Amino acid sequence: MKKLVSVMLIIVLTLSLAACGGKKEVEETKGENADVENNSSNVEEKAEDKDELESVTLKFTYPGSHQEDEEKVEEAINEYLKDKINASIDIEPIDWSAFEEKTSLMMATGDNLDMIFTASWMTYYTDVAKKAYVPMNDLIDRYAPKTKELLNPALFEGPKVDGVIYGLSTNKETAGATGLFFRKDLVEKYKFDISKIKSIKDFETVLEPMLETIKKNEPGIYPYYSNGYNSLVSFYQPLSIGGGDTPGYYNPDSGKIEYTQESEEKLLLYDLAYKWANMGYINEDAVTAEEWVPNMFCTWMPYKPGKDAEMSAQLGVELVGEVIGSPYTTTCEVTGSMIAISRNSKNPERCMMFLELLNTDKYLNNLLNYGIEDVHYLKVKDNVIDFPEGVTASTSTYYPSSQWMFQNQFLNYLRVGEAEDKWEQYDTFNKSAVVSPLLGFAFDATPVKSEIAACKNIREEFEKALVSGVLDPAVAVPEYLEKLKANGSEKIVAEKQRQVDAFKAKK
Amino acid sequence: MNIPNKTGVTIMKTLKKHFRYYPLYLMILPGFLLILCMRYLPMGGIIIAFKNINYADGIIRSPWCGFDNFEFLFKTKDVLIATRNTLSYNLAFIVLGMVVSIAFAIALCEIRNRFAAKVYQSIFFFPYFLSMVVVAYMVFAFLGMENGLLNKSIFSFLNIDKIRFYAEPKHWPFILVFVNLWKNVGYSTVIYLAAILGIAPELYEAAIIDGASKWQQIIYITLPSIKPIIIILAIMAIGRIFYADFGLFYNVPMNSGALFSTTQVIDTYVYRAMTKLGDLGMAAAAALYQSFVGFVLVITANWIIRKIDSDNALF
Amino acid sequence: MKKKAGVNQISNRANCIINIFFLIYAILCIAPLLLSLGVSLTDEKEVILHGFNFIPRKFSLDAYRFLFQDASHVLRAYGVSIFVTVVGTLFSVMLTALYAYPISRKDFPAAKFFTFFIFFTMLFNGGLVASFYINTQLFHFKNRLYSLLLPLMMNPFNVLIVRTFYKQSVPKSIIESSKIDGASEFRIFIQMVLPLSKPAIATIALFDTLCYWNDWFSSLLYISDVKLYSLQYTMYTALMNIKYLLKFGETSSDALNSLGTVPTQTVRFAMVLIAIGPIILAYPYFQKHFVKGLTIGALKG
Repeated sequence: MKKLVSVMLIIVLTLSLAACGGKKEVEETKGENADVENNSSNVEEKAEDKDELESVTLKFTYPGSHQEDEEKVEEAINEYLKDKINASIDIEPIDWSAFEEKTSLMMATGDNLDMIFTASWMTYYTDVAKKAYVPMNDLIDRYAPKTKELLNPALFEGPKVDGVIYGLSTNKETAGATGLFFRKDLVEKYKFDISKIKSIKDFETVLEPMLETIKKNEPGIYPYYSNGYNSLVSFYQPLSIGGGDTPGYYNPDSGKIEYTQESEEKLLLYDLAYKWANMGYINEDAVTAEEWVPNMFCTWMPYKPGKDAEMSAQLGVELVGEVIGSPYTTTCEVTGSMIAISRNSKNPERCMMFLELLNTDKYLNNLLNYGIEDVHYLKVKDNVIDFPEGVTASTSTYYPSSQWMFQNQFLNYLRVGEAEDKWEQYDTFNKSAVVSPLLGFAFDATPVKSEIAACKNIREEFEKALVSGVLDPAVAVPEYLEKLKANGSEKIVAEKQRQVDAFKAKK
Repeated sequence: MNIPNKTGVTIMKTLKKHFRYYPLYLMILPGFLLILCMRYLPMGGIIIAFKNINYADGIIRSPWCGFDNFEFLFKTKDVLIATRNTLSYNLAFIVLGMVVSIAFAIALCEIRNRFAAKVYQSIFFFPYFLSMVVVAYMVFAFLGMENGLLNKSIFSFLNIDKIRFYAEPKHWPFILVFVNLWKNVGYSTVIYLAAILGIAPELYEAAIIDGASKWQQIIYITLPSIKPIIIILAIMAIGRIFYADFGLFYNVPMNSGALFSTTQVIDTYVYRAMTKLGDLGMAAAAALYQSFVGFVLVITANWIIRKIDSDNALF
Repeated sequence: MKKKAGVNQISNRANCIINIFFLIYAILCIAPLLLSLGVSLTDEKEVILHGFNFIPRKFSLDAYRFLFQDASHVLRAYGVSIFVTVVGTLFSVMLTALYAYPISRKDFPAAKFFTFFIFFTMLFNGGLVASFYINTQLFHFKNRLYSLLLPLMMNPFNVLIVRTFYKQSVPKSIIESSKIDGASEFRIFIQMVLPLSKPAIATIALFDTLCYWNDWFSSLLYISDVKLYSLQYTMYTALMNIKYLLKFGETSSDALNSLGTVPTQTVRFAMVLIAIGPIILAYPYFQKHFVKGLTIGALKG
């Protein structure tokens, strides 16, 4: 009898394991349900369109945190879309920390992704090499003609790999610039004339005495704040190829691929970092610091119009920023935010239609970005909005804060506190940039991937310490170069040269 | 009549031999199925190490590329340093970890105040609860340049020069060994403690009657009795000798490049090489490499143990 | 612990030295926890100016207030974690104890095979991609609670430990004599073997509990429904999101834009404490069972 009971016990255990899963089953994602409902109820409902569009669900995957009212906003969007393109959207934010891993797993296992956010500083190029995305040239011509007209052509050149576009860029600032940002109150207190600092050459002569003053008189303030790779050396922005963390950049004057570690400007900055670190002007934990703090006098930050207002709000102290050098547009700047369509998507045309709307339809764009009017935000003036009474960025039930990911930013409403002519400023900024001769060139790393793997590790070993002023450049830089060369960097440089020359020849 | 059935008879005999034990088979069944589904079904994934994966062809149809993905694991001096570090640290962890945990376990049994022993036991286990991300923050709270307890408060109080912990590699073998011990000793101690508790008290009583001292009891009774568990833990540790605790070697040194010569291990090397390269094949190759070496070492160790003390071999 | 005659105790001097040493080490173990507690209860500006201290210079509950403003989410995450931990541990211990027994029996013909079967998985595994593929396509792991339970169930390490314990603490004579008395295998297992192995079972139960409680990776892979987030995952993502955004910020200013409201230093430490919270209570609970195991062992003689 006991034996029987024991056997039954074990069977029950195994069965309950399976049942356990079934009982706790969560509803399938609303998208799939909606799909089934729509399909069955849509038999009579026909779109006004000449083409009889079937109702489909499109997944929109981007890095970010889940918003509480996501479903409400989705409903509103789907209402609106029903008449336009008869599609519903399933917004799927994935946490930043999980994004790359999860999306690569999903793509590798053939998951049903539709639209995915991507960027050159994420895995865009490697994903293209792995054939993850659908070519967009034709799709754009057929389904997003207005977008094509509207946007800066550079935005369509940049994402090209061998002439094919795989990602639709976001229309925002297309130029980058290095900025030196100061604590406004300290600048006024000591009556510093920061407009005198125009380029890197002015650092030693004009900026250094300012740092000295601060060091002497303000004990709790870091004169120059450096965190990780956001350092003094960030003012040197070469035309990098295949990522700034691989050896070899493009020197437009000579047309050759050279080592950044041999460029005059960078060496100057390395030396300056070392000098200032020893004089105590740079914070001692620069190597391990990860973010900016309010008690700093000046620091490097990527510049764009309105940046000082943004950072001031974030840090709680007022900052004022100066552009050093001139703005530039390279492939990097125009591929910093793109939406791609997965090869496994069942409805690439519909995706492109949606993207066309996102780029041209003001109502839809702001719905996705800010939520529902009067629920998630209030209109203060015609184009300016603010949070409702008592709600802040961290308590809002819908505030993805990802405007820069959701296509045409020029359609966004302005927030209270931003310059009224923000978009005009952006426009001027964009137009003032020097355009890179290598726009549209993408480096294929496959032939040298082992060498790149090795060189990346070497870079990690030296770069942060050098830019934080911890290592003596006179000793460390030669060592750095030697190590790179011993690990195949020459092969990488030669390969880059070959590909660049081929690209230029085709032009 | 019998000759054609010879194989049949042997099969019947074996089946009968096993059938006697059917209750034991039943006991094993649920676990067996679970392991089969969760761990053996996905093993086909090993082929990824030999392929150049692209998403259009998927895993099955992507082209083969032989041993290409393994190249980066052997080519450079850096990866050899990483390998050396991995082995040295693991050896230190195994040996020191064992010595310290066993010593702690025995000491805990011997303390007179039983209540204190229980309290100590619980407290030693605390660090195991923490994830390495957290431990990294805590270590930083002690060793940080600007705000760290050591540099800011203690050193300035004692008037010693501040030490740039995160820029000087020489301190880290000690720091990492200590942190690893601190985190895991509680865990191992519990295992050894449970083993010691299982020793029959009669053995001790007999020894006392024979006039054995405390030390003699430990050496002749306690240690030999827990020999099986020591051997098993050692073999399992040897199997993982090419693996390093990623959290320990990446997070605790705060990913500081200056420390690579003493903190870079195979796992961190692969991770750093992979970011943005996203090469599934290379990552799989690295994992296969680590598994394979571990496998060879374990089989060897088990074979050696079987020759010396066959009871305690793993299989 | 052992009941020894007073005459067999260690010398006073030895006792003293051990106690002192343990005291120091115990402080070392708790210190970081106390430091975290202290920092989490400090006012943020104080931390920036004066660094980390055990005793808050300026007391403030802001960090906790910030975390609990979304109390329903945190409580829900706690619920998920507790459910997964309890159910997972229960099943895992059962499966482990059951599997380990037959392979500990010398007379079981397939013992070697099954031992190798499970040990092999400690060394080789098919990799994340293959597991993900099989789990999501074959077993439908997406957004189900069992995806948090199954991958961690039955840790080979634990199985081998329990097997060793069975071999060590259960003399063959007992099993043989019980068989002669006509007891079934199951009865022998439940009535004789298990009680003798209580310390081992309690040990792996503790390890399983910790394993399930601390797991955030399964959530990362299979769960996208916020309602099913475990506590560790909630805390982990908050901390790691910062790290990742900053890492991306190295090469893109856009990523830096998404940083938005970065949890402050104090909040991060508060998160740590919230995540550890209940599990600290688990240990004393299991410890009771170690002691019980001893009494049974004494009786058996």
